[in-house]
Amino acid sequence: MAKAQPKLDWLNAAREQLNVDPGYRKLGSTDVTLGLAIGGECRLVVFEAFTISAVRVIDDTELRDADIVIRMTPKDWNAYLRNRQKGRAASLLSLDIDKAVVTGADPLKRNKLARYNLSIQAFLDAGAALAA
Amino acid sequence: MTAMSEGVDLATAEISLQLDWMDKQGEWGCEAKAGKQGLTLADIQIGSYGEVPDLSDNMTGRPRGAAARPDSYRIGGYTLRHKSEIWLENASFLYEEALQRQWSSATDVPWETIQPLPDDIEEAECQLATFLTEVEFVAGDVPARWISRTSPDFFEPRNVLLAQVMDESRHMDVFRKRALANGGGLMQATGGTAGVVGSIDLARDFTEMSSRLHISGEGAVLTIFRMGELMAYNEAEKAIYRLCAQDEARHVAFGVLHMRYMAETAPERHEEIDCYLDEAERQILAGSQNPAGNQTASSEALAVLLGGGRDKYDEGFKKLMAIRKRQLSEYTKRVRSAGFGERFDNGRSNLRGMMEASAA
Amino acid sequence: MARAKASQAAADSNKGQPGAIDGIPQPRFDWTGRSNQWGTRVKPGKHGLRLGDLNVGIYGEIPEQWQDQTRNPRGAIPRRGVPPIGYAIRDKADLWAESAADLYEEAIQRRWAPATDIPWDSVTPLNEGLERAICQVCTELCQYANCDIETISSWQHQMAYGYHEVKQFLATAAFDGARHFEAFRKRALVNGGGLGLEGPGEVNRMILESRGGWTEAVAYLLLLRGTFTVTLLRYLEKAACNDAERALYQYTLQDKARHMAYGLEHLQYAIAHQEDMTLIMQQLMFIGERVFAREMKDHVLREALAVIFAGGIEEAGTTGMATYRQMMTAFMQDYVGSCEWLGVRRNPETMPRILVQYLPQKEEA
Repeated sequence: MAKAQPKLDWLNAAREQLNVDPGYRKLGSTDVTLGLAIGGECRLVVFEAFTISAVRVIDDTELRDADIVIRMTPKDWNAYLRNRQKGRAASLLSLDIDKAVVTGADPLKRNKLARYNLSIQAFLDAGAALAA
Repeated sequence: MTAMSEGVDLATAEISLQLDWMDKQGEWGCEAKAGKQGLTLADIQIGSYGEVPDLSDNMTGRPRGAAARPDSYRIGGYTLRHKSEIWLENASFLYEEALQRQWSSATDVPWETIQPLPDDIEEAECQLATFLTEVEFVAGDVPARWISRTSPDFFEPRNVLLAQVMDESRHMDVFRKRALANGGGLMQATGGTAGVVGSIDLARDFTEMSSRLHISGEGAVLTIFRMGELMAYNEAEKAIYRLCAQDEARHVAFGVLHMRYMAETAPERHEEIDCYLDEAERQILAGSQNPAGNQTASSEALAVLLGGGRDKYDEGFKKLMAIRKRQLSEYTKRVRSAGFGERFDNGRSNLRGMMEASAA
Repeated sequence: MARAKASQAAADSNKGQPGAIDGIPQPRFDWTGRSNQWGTRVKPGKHGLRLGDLNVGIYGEIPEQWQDQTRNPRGAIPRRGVPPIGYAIRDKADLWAESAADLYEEAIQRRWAPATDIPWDSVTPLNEGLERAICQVCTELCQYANCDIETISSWQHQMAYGYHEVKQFLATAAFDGARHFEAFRKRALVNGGGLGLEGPGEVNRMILESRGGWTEAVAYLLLLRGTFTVTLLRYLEKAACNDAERALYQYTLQDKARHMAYGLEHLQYAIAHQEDMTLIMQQLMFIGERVFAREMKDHVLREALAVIFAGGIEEAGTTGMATYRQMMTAFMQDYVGSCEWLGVRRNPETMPRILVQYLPQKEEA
């Protein structure tokens, strides 16, 4: 059976969409660098002030530039996006409780998941809709 | 099944629950309904939860209406335990409005509209901004001190004071930003916010403090903010004064509504409150916390701004006189609204004389 | 007629000079030309014009001690001879966090209103045991918020204005407390329930009675109680029964996490800048853990959480308690991890057993 490919091609589209979304703006300023490590694929998503300023393809050594990193298998990641889009999946906060998918280099950085949970979730949800 | 104890291996034990607390809770069956403005504090004033005690015996910091425990630790330290010391009608409304009308000095002021101004105007702007950032310090510190002494049974007015501290922080920051946004800088502090006898800091009673802070001090500043169009030189400054005026109006409303409550429910304190107002009136023009007060750096700066430059100081001064007159007039209306207007009719207040002198 | 003409002539010649008109006092203008640093121009960036952006030149010089006992704005020219207000906290190490200005702006930007940002209409009837448990937990969270309000308000006005960034951030934190106090109260009263039993209050008392200074209060309010509250909110979010509860916990979690950012940074700064602070913190946490442990022996909150996590009374003793244990494990790991990060080692052998039992056991060699 072919290995699942992680759905990551929506990242820039979600960035562009949210950057003009008043609902996202209303959530407030967000300053976090989010790393995604899905299977062998790594991305860096930079949230700065009121926009998502950059999405970059990186290798895993550059994940150290991230404040927090979401690590999942491609299968779990794709399933999460799919179920999220259908309204069947828990929030990232809840998922992290069950599966410890989020890491941070120190307590201050790890705290950013909680601090910006609404904005990060909004990004993932925009992506889930685009990936569907 | 095992009862809970420190020695129990919690990893595997099935714990039997007592659940006795379910029979000890507060009034049950409450179902607050949201209105047009969402689910507001006013909407949850239902049943016993809406009953505010005249004297709070809550020494443990429990939420009003929560069931008391006989063994709960006493926090103590609440000096404001009588409703009449702090209450006002419509506190819930003021608080919810404060929540809805929060703004950001970083992004809601169009800073890019500030263009270079003539040196004398910029200096005047910066002197006034220095004064205003300093005077807001008082309005931030003093309510905070009273908040920590207030029984949580009176959380409605307490929440309004918390909103005020938040508002004043924003005012401190917006005027500091104005002073540093256009090639100027901070200038001379006035020292008028010192803790001397008669100052807001040294009030020993909440109503005394409120009369000095809300009715007199903030009232005078509100008039200035409302006249912001006369002294603003760009859209940024207009926005600053407009947004600050909106906040300040709430603070003044707190003072008026509290004093009105006192007028209606505490007749034995009328003479005492009149004494506070005597003192407030002495300070209105002579005191150092009114930016339009007599011969202060900030009043001179105001006159420069109102006139359009140092060479038009006299014109500006005439406008300043009009502002002073308006301050006194609005103060009078405020005090009448609060139920203490008799003092203007029975000769107790010297305000009319002050207004005539201002107009001369 | 001649006198009137002379007066008019004098007025005409004075025109343009301040105080030329009768009745208008001569201005002193003694404030003009007086600035410690003129020519400052700060421009907005991506975040707008933020408080931290103003820290340029003399306006950004934040000394280790602030001697000025008045309300002189930092960088302004002080007025000599002003009687002191009397600020007790005047050392930077006693309150500072580098990100205080940014946290202040973030708090304003990430504001929300419980009345309108929580979808209250999504709350539907729940089984009575579950509703009672939710109301009980909300009552206790309300009381935690009250403790936040009282603690912060009692310390904030004692801080000198040389560190206005911290005072301003704390104003937002106290306002967050007001918001949480009303939001949890609203949840308790919106669905056929009511408020529960008040909490034991020993930890509240300990936090409020911190005599050793603001740093001690932060250690108890945020490092200990704050870490617990954040963990609790995360587990409640997971167990939320409706969109309203989910939103409530997500918003309050966001605010508490901001407070934690200040707390951790301040403690880090205090430890780095005060020689004995690591040892002092070890003592403080030794004492605080015992008080906290005593409070955790109380069954009320624990049982209410177990009922919530199990979705009702029936499986609270099994599934519910299992999740409670998981939550306590997460709390202890985060708490001990934060202490370790700060350099404040916790020794499991001297920590209360009721807390230590939740730490992963080290495997024997």
